[in-house]
Amino acid sequence: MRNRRKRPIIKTHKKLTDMLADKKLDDPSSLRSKIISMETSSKQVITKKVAGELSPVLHVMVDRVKNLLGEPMDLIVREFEFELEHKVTATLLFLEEMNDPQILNEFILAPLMSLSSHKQSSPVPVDHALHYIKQNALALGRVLDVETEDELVEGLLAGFSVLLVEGNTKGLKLGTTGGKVRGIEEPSSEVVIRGPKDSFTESIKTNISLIRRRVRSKDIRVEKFIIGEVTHTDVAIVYLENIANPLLINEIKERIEEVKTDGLLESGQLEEFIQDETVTVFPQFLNTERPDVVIGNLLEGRVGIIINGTPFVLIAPAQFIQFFQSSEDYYMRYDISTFLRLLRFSVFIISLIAPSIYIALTTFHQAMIPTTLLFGIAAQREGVPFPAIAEALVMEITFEILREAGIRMPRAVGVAVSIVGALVLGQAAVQAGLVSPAMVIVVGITAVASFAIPSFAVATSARLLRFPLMLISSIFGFYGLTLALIVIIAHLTSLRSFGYPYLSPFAPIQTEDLKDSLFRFPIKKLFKRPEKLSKRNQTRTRPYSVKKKREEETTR
Amino acid sequence: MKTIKIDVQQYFIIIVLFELGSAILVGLGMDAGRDAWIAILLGMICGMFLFLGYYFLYKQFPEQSLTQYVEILFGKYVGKLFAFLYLMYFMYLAARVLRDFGSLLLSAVFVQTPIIVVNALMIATIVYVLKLGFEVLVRTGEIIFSLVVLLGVILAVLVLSADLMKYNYLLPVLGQGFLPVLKAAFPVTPTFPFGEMVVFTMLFPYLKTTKQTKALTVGLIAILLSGVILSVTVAMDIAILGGHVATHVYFPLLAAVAKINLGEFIQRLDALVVFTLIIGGFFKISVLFYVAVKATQDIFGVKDEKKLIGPIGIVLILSSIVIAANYVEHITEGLKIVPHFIHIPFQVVLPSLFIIVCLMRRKKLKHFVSSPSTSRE
Repeated sequence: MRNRRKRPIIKTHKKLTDMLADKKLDDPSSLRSKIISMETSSKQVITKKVAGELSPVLHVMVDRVKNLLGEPMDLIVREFEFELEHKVTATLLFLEEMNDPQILNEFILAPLMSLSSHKQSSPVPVDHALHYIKQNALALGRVLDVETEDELVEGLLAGFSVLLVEGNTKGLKLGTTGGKVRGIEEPSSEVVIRGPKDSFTESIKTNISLIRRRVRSKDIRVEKFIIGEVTHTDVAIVYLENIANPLLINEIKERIEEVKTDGLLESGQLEEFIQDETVTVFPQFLNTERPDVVIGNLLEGRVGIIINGTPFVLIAPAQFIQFFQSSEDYYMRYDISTFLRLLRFSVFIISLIAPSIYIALTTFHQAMIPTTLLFGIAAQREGVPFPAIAEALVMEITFEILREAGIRMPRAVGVAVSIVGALVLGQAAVQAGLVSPAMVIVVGITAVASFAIPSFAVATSARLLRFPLMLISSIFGFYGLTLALIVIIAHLTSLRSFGYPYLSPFAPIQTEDLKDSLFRFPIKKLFKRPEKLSKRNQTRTRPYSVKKKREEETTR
Repeated sequence: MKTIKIDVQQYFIIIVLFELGSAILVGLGMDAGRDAWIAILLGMICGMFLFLGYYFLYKQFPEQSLTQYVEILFGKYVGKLFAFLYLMYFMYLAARVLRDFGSLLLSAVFVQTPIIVVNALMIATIVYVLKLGFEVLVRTGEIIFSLVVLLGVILAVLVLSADLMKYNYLLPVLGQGFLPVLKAAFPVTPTFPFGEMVVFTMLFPYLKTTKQTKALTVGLIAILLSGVILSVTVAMDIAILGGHVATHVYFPLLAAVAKINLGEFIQRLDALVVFTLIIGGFFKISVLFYVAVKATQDIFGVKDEKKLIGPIGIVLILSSIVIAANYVEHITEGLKIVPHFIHIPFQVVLPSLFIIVCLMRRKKLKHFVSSPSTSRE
């Protein structure tokens, strides 16, 4: 018993060194998480009393694999023979929908089956067969040795096909991954008028390739982790070695490795695991579907976190102001970008406090409304039996219901929802004397404003904060509202995303970074990367001097 | 021990917000009639001298706050007594500002609300912010500052374009001679708000600079700026309202801004002023509150300052109500008693005493003082 327990541990160590030698896996930190998962699985092997080694007898091996996986219907076992010194039996194992049949047929089965004895210069013994075909017969880039059963099964589940040869205690893991994935499409949640039109997909490989294709730098680093004890989800962090702060990278790696859970399906889950502050309504990560956004952030010294299975890539650390910036801001002229940024920010403020202002004005500060308008509003409200806060709450909640309904509805019913919303709840509610028309306008503005915020994540924070703000301004008017806003600002300044102040560059003020915040200065003037993020490598743009030269020439 | 750090520009911002906080609303130096603005400038100059005194003490004890170095100067027991007096002073100031503030809101907006509710809400906000840390307050101040500057510029532009100011209201300058101005300027105007800079003796040690002299220059510039703003504001109030009205209104700025009316559209901008008032009041009370917390921490040797915030908050709410039976009493105290019998002792007499003792015992104190100051240079 003691003997058996020892064995797998030695195995993992051996495997570790193999992997390090292999260099396919990039760094020891990702190995650590692998070891953990391996140790757990090897423990399972012990309880099942199955030895970890591969059996040289083919049908025993195949049976064992079938047994381990529970005889799945999509496991294909293809037996075939080829000739070296004499006839050799081999088996190709793969999960049907995870592999590309064309690669399997053309680059594995075809060359192997056409092997014959007279082609060899010297006879190959059976136990060298595997090495021989790896060197000579497989026209494939990714071929790895498999030594244990766990490795074999893991390989199968990850979409490799496995080649076993009679009489060999090793197998080969072949990179024939394929199967249907969604293609690269236009981004659905971040539409731009000018800018690249591709977006990330669910496949981490595609996503990494989208980034690599745009940054041809030797300094780009992609490091992989495997998270989820059941799902074994691939997670990769991407950064530029010469720009990003090494301390930040370490912090992110540590936090990711610390995640122990059964499964990881979307970046939102990882976000919740590794964020700094849990009790807040504000997002502490930027998420994007657009490769160009990721790269723009990498260039500023931030880090991208890609999770297999979702097109939403996380960017950390995030600053509050980033949620009001769009990648398009850098592709359009600076003047219009600045205008749009200011507009988006004011839109956020409107969607946050418009109903509260209406409530405070009509409940406490009627003197501040211009007289004629005051008469108008008073006349409208005359028939309404509720206080402004009740009116506002009813309308806001109705709007939230409509909005949620609109998202979940099948498209065909969507029209009905909008008609019901517009006519019944707007027009009819006013005529029935339930709400005043002014209130409908306020709710309308709030709604439209909340849709104009480019980031959905920050729009939701405005959506949530709106209700407490409405309540406090119904009790304390502008006084309560001002204090509540102070509390929000203080909360925002206290937030940190991976140790970086959330409200920077405003608090603490970073003058150089202010150039690209609510405003965007002309790109020729954006000389520096964000100060705190990229201490080592600050210069971004050098002064542009063509115009000067030309002027000098003409004066000569 | 020293966990918080304030950098120079933050320090500048705190001073300006603290000085302007409540002072910009109430008519300062209005006893001088239309020459009030001169009285403010005089007060400011005196305030600068007071600040020099505080700075001198800071220079002697760069690592300690007021409540800490009085113990070095006077020994444990007498020192603690002085520190305790200062603690009372800071808390009284905080309670006063809170009362001022609650009364204003009560008279302007919440006629039927009990004052304790209004004050409690303010203290609750401050407690929340201070629990997040003093640095959060300071950084919030940075954002608030830019907001206030923006509002100030907007108001200034509007006032100028509304053509409300009649400059002859300011004439003749020094019509009754210099005496009434001097009378108004001394001793009240230097003590409020400039003398309240004594609070910063508690905050100097947290300043993060390479040079100590920066604390002096930046501080003086901040005082100068806030003094000039106050003086210009008062001059503007007088030019809009006329000397007589301006001196008799509780809140001249509010009255002056209320007169803005551009094309029947941009009007009733007092809301903006009330907004700045709330922000300024918040900031001023917060700073006083925090200083009181720090003083308590020093005197009673409490390790975690966050534990003190809640209890002191409650004390402040209650004392803001108990300090005066009604608003008239509160105001009369504020004008007649507080400046002479509370401000002057704490802002002028005691610090001077500290300076004298410090100079006298300089040699003896050297082993206390020299090591940190040399390590700083």
